[in-house]
Amino acid sequence: MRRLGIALLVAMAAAPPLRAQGDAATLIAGARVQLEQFNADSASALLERALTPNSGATVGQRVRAYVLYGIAQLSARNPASARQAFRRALQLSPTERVDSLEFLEPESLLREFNAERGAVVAATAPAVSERLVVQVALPVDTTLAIADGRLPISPVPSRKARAVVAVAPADAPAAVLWTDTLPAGATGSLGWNLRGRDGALVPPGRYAVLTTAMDSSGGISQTVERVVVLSRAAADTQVPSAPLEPSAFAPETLRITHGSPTAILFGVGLGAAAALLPSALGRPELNKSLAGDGTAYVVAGSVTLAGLVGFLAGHRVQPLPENARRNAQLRQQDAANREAIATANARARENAAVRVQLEGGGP
Amino acid sequence: MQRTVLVALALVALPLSAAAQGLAGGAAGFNVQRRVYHQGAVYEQTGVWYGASGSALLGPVRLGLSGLFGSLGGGGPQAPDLTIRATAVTLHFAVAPWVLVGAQAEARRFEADAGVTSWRLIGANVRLEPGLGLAGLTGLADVSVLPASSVSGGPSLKMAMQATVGVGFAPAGSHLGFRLGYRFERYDISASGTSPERYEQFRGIVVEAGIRLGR
Repeated sequence: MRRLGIALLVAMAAAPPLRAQGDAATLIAGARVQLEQFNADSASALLERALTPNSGATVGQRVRAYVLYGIAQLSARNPASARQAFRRALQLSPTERVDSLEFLEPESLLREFNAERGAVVAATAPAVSERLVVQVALPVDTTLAIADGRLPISPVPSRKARAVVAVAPADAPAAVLWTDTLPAGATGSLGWNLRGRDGALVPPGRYAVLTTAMDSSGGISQTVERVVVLSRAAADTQVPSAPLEPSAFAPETLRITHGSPTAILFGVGLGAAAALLPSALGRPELNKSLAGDGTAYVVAGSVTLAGLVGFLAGHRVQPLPENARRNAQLRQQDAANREAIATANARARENAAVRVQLEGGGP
Repeated sequence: MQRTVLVALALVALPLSAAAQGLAGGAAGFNVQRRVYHQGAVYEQTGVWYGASGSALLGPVRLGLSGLFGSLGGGGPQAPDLTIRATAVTLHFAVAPWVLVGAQAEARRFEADAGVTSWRLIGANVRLEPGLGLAGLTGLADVSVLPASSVSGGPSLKMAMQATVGVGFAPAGSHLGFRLGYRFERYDISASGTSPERYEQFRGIVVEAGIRLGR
């Protein structure tokens, strides 16, 4: 059966040239089938046919054929021949990848293929003067709004290459917060939104902007590191008003220099009572034909005098409820104003813009 | 009677004083003149009484205790010399900061060579202490009407009334207080047996000095 299949495939390969291209594809497909069935020798035979100059195979088909041939040689424990096939494939297609074929020879395919890739790249690497480099342009000092501000990062490779930009804390470059790629050939800027992977604004501090370029031939530039310093810009806050001066308040009481007139009334009244007590309460039989009690007059005079002194030297306080109400309103209004300012200031600090300064990029 | 009053007073006063929010005490002197009308004649005696008083404040309640002792003389053969001792207890309720109403019970003992006479004086009391415009300066009007009064073992008193009018001063920032007053007392003693009605009155200047602790 196996021999019959090979004969059939060889016969197909020997068909007229007009069908050569299609025959190459058939041979390669057949070889793939044989590889999957662990028939490395059969696969090699078909591929040798596909790689003959008159097979009509395209470059892509030839690359594919070399790769499969190398796999077949690995299966046949012939690594030198396999690497030679891989080299041919890589010389035709430097960026060729074989990851999808790893299952055919999982033990050594990637190792051998990539080793050969290194050798090919080294052999075909451009001269030092032509080494891929990347420059990155960053604003020296800019201020960004936290809502939609983006730090423009402009990578410029020395030749056509894609540029990968990553941002990480300067003291922990492995902890990448953000990354983006500028496609090869594209110009312009990438914009970091100043946020980490969790979407939260990163705290003020030093951050490294790491830029690497990679071209289609596998050339990789050295990583360029620029450090930017993030800080919160001064918030536009309001100065809280000074505490209300005592003069701002109206007096809530009125000090009246004289005592209440009732002091006089009480003094005079009690004095009169003292003077009149003997005659008012005493029995006429006891008071008749007797002189008045002088001691009562002494006390009466004393009490009256006390009332007069109290009125003249005393003072009283008259409450002014209208002023007290107005003062209370003033205090409430002042407290409300202070709270509003404090709230606005807190919001302003929370939304304060972020200043980004390029370290070593300016004065 | 006096012993009973003192025991009752102690039972009430001691726990009240312990819980009191304010305590006050003082000493007094009463330059007294006594006049007696008996059987158409008027006799007059004079003397000086001394006394002490104390009170405890618990909220609007004020419990007071006072005592007086002294002598009377100079009334001639019809009016023998007397020594007197009086003990009174008052219970007041402050209906306003300067208005106190309450009850008063007093025992008064007159001792003469001929014997001892005791009075029981029980009734109501009103005390006014209005401010006179200056801090610490107050007036005083203290009136007691004592209808439930009698002579111990003798007749009742048809009329028993005591009144004191004066002025007090407690210097600001000081616990001390002083008071000057004029005191007048009237007692109408009912007729008893062959003895006709007898009228007595006591009057004179009262001077007090005291100390106040708490409010």
